[in-house]
Amino acid sequence: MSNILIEAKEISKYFPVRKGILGLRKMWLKAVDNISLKIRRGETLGLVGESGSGKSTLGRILAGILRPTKGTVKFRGIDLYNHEARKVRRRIQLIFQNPDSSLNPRMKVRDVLAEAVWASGINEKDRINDKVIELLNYVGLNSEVAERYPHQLSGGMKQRIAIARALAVNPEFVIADEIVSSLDVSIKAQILNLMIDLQDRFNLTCLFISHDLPVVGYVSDRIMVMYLGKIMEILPAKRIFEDALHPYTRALLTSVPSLYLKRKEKVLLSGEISSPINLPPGCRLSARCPYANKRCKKIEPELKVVENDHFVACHLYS
Amino acid sequence: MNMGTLLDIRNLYVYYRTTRGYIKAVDGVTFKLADHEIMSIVGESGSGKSTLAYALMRLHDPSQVYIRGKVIFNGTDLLSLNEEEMEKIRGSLISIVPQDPNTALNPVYPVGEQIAELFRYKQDLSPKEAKEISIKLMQRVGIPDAEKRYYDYPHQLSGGMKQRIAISIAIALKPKLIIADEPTSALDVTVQARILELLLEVVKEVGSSMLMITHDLGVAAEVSDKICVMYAGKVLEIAQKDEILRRPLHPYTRALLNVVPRFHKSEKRLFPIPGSVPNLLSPPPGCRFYPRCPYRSNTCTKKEPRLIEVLQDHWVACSMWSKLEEVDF
Amino acid sequence: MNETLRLLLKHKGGLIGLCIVLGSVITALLSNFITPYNPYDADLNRALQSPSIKYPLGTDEQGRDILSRIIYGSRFSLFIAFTSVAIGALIGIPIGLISGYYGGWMDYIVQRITDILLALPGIVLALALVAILGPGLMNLIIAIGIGFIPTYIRLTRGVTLQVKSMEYIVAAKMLGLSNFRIIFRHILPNILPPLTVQLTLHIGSAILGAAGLGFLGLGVQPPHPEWGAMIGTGRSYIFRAPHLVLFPGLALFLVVLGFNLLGSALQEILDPRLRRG
Repeated sequence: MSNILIEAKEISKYFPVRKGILGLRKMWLKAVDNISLKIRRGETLGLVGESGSGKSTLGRILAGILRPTKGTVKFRGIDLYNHEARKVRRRIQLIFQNPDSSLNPRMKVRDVLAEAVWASGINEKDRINDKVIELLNYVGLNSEVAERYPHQLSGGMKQRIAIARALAVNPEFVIADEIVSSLDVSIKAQILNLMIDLQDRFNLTCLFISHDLPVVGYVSDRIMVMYLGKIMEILPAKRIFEDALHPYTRALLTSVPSLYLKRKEKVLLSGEISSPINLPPGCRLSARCPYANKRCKKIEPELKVVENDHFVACHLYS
Repeated sequence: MNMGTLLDIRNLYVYYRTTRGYIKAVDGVTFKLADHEIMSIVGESGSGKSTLAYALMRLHDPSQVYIRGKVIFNGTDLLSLNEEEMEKIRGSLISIVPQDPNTALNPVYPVGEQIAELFRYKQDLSPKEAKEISIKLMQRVGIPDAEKRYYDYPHQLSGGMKQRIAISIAIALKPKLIIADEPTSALDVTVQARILELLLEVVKEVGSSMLMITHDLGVAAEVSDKICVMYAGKVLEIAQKDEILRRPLHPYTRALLNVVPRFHKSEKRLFPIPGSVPNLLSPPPGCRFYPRCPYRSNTCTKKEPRLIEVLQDHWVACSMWSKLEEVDF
Repeated sequence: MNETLRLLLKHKGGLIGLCIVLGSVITALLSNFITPYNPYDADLNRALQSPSIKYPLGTDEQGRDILSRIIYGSRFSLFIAFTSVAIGALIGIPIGLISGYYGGWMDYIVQRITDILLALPGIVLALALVAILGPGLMNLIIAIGIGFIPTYIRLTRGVTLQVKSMEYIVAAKMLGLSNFRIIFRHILPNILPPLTVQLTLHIGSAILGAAGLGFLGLGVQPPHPEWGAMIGTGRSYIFRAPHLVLFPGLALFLVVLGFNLLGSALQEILDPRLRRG
């Protein structure tokens, strides 16, 4: 029981959308639809999906800052959307995609980190200063960076500061939402390795959200694939390149323009990602899936276990 | 197959004027592009690849840039033309597929009209003829129900659809050169693959040459005949695709190939390139890649290595190229 | 801060604007010492004299030296302008900030009230207030100041919403920082630069507004040398002695131009250029 840090039960998040003349018709955008998951202490769960998949929305719900329409999220057994969650709020930290808007442009790096350290409960100036230098070292920056303003730093450096800020309050659970997507290829690798090292060092539990499957495949222990608000597949990261079963996962794998990923059969999805408003019944992928049949268009497949720790939501495998 | 030289860039310099001095975005670039050839210019941010593309089309505000060099396209030096002459070339002889499909199309006109406009304005076709050709083009790029969708506005189309329209605008007048500026980076992964496929198809059909600007070596590998690697305003290596991927000679190219994740952390660690891109206001002397290069030596800071053809049709700008170990890529 | 100053000094318009503004402020502050004659000293025997060496800008209908009156008049224009903008800002900014930050039904109500207030033309609002409160310096300032409040509410709310959407605000909340701290440490410092630009531009409007009311005889009353009032009384003599209207008019033009140039320059500097960092 204590092994599971985060438990989400039947989470849904619906956003109302007004359409039609005078906006009289009210429809629902089902960003996240009935998702349950468990994240184990110390593991990195990779969350992969394209736009409209709901991965960022799910990330925010698990972070405790976006109340779900239905369902519960428990952190260490405590409901995150209850007032008793106040004590554990700080144990969850979020790192964002855009390095330019995640740091206050009017604060020096030193002040950004000092404020975070102060928020963690340390009051004496000396101890705060020491901790700031320590944090900079953890993320591979030297202390002269402390005197600079964000606009004087590169994207990679800003992300390191954002990571340092998250670490300042000794979190247990860190959610990284597309943190390397806006960085150059050569810098991405630096940040990914940093995250792996920090996770080891501080025994962090991590939710790594990205649209980039190879990236997720590298840093994660387990991978969860989402499409239009639903989970398509969950499997250990080590096996994703060889053992992926769901047509969507395979489409993602084979679509990546890549030099080396072994292409089994290329899975090509027709059409475009459907709108998440007013979805038709059946499997979310059925409109585009080359293997779709009548059953797929009528009945939604459930997430079922196929192997140890490997779950697929697809009629081909049930 | 007639493989004459379509584009001959010689010693091109493009600097941005700022209150702090000149940003040397493109700092002495030379290369050739043949007819029907597809070349990818691969580089990260600050490499100068986008600046280069815009400079070829003379899209910069002249008061903000300093440009020097020769850009010989189809026998004419584009840099010597005035704005009126350039306007005749843009869209008809050289066209561009822009990066962001969301801002590439004018939001207040129907998409079909934006294609037709080219035919009416540049080829003097009648509105009816222009519309007919435009619908055919839309069908060619895979827009279902083209006759109806002709009247749709951009916001009614998905990102992938908009990019297809942008592609149709780029190939409409059968230009000799198409510049594709990161055409898939704003799209979802599953859509990217199909757009790249489409782009390659139509470019070959029309017989144009293409300059593909991208930060993604994978994309370059999918579409190109030749790959050109840029870094901090300089060209570091140019060769045929298979050659450069199999036998990269520049340390930066090698590093780029190694830095793309394709395995799990438990199997092997990624080998990132330490440091970051140099300051383009005052770049360091000698080789720009020196501070981050695992093979660096003292000679590298003294003189800037020139781009030399060291193997057949394989150019590299590195003093240490011959000393790199043979590795199987 | 220093960066802004440096860029401002390089900006041609900004430099000119800054000089004019500083010049007018210094003139206003030192006016007691630099007026060649007493601005209130009237002598009908020397009324309506054209500019001469003795009276460089001539004399008005009461025989007072116009140059001295213009110098002294700068006190009124600037005092009115600064104070009324201050009133508008000190009341409007906090309301806009709270309204934008907390949102909800409170924000909705504040916005609808602001909509109504903004629908009233400034001059009409000011006229109405002066009619209620009566003429005089302080009432004029209050009238113009109140006229500015809805503008500042709207402006501040807009910038606050923009800043609120930045991820560093979410990060601050996730650190568990109090709303108070977030507002003062994170929101306020980031809304001040765009607001400062507006403040500078509004000072020009306030000067003109005061002059307009003065011209109508509703602002500062004679014998005080407020520029608008001077133009108002000088109107009757416009054909005989145009310098009564011309010089106060030029003074107004020059000072407002200075503030506008300064404001424009600040706007350019604070917007895209600093992003290049």
